[in-house]
Amino acid sequence: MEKETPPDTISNIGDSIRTPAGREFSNPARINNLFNIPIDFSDLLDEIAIGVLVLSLERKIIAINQTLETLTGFSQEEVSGLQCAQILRSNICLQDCPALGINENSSPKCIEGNLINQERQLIPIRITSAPLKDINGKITGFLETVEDIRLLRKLDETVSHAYNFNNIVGRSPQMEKIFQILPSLAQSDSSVLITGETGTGKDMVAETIHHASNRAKGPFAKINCGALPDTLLESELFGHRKGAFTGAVENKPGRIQLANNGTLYLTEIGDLPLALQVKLLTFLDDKEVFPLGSIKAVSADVRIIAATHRNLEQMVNEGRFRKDLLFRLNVIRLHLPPLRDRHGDIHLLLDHFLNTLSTQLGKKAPTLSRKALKILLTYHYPGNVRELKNIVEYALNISGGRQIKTKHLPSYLMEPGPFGATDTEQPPATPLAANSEQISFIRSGPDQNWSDIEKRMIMEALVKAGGRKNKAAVRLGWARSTLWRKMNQYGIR
Amino acid sequence: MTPKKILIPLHEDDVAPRFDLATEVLIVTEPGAEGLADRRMVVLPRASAEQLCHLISPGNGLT
Repeated sequence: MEKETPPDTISNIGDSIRTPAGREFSNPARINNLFNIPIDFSDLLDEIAIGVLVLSLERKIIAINQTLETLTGFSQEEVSGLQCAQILRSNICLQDCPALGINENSSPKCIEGNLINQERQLIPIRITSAPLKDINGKITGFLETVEDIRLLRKLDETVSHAYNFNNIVGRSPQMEKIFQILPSLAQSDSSVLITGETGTGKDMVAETIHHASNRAKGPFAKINCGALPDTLLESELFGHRKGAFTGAVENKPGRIQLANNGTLYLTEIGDLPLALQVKLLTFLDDKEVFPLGSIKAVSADVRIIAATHRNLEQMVNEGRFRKDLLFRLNVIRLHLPPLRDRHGDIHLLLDHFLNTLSTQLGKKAPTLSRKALKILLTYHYPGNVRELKNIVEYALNISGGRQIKTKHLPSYLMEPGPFGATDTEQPPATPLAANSEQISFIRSGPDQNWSDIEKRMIMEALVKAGGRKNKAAVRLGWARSTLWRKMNQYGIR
Repeated sequence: MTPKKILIPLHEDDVAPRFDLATEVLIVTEPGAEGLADRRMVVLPRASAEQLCHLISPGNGLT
């Protein structure tokens, strides 16, 4: 690790940033021509409340601000001219340096990771890296911001203990499983397929995954595959070039391109036409799109989340959905249970909506009469949470702020009829959400041996402990070493 | 008296900024009476602080 003297490093960045003549490099550089008089470059950086690094093309440090000095424990004098990875000591630098992949056409990159400071503290951080260009658009260096996200992480932990996750409310076992799975699921970059009946909260879950992921700072682009005609959908998704078709008067980037460094949420994926399924498949493979009328590929770093209320397996059998696309989307599958199966959640959601909606309407939250509550608790909710919310909103408006009685509820709730007229195209109850539910049944199954049961117990404890082995061992009443040994024995990684 | 050994975690052609993320280490033995220093490169199966710690603890043939 050789420290280099960078006499001309600042001038490499561009004409607008120069070292003042006759001054040491570690002293402030200046930005000329921005104001009438030269201003102190380092003072300007010090005013910024997040860590800032100015790097040369070789990723050597030109300047850091005071916040970053505090975060890393290194001073500006110590770090000038050193390779940034040696100072930041972040896992991002070694595994996925954001500056490495940046070219003239790149937009800023945002990655979450951690760093080890001089006090040997491991600090979770978020790095955003952007190119610094000269007036000809040529990259002359990089500007990186480093955010300390310890507080955010602490907040996340607090939230995960409550009966909600980013406004998704529930305390039924099914929902608790989902709340436990969501954070780790968000941290992976794999495609997610969300299934569930209409109104179960697929959109909210998709948005939650995005906000809890490393792409949270990037865009969240949503497109409804069933809402647009085929040709328009193709242009919306992949973009078009000027003159590609009548009316294409200018270049237009597609949603995939717009979601670069973020998440693309494809809702109603079951309604995507077959021709576009092939094109989407190509994008998932190559991470490149060809806008309509263009022969030049545009690369996009996008995480895909797809959702549908349809049974995609059945559609594959009927030839209406491509099997290979299903396999690519079905990396992580999340099934949201219908409200009628979420025991105890109806009451919780009723209270939640009564409070939030009455606040929105500027009214005091009214109470429910015993009879009205009974009707609401026994109703089947084919429209799930959305229907429950609408019923509460209706009742709030009709009751005028007084106690909600049966006469304030929509009349169809009181009509006798075949409750449970739900969508026939039910996706099979799957995987992640259902697994632990099955555990309790499997335990008493006569055909299960002890090893299977023990393996399941370990899995269940690990899921409940959010993957933390220490906590899982406590739950099982074992020593940590016993858990390690058993995990090795059953090949659980 | 056993000769002194120095272990340097590496990342590409440089000293690794993080010990826990290094996958290669260079072990240099102090020159003995014959004046020859020994250099050995060890490639670890994966980056692991625990494994590195185990590698440098006494009784593993490296120290």
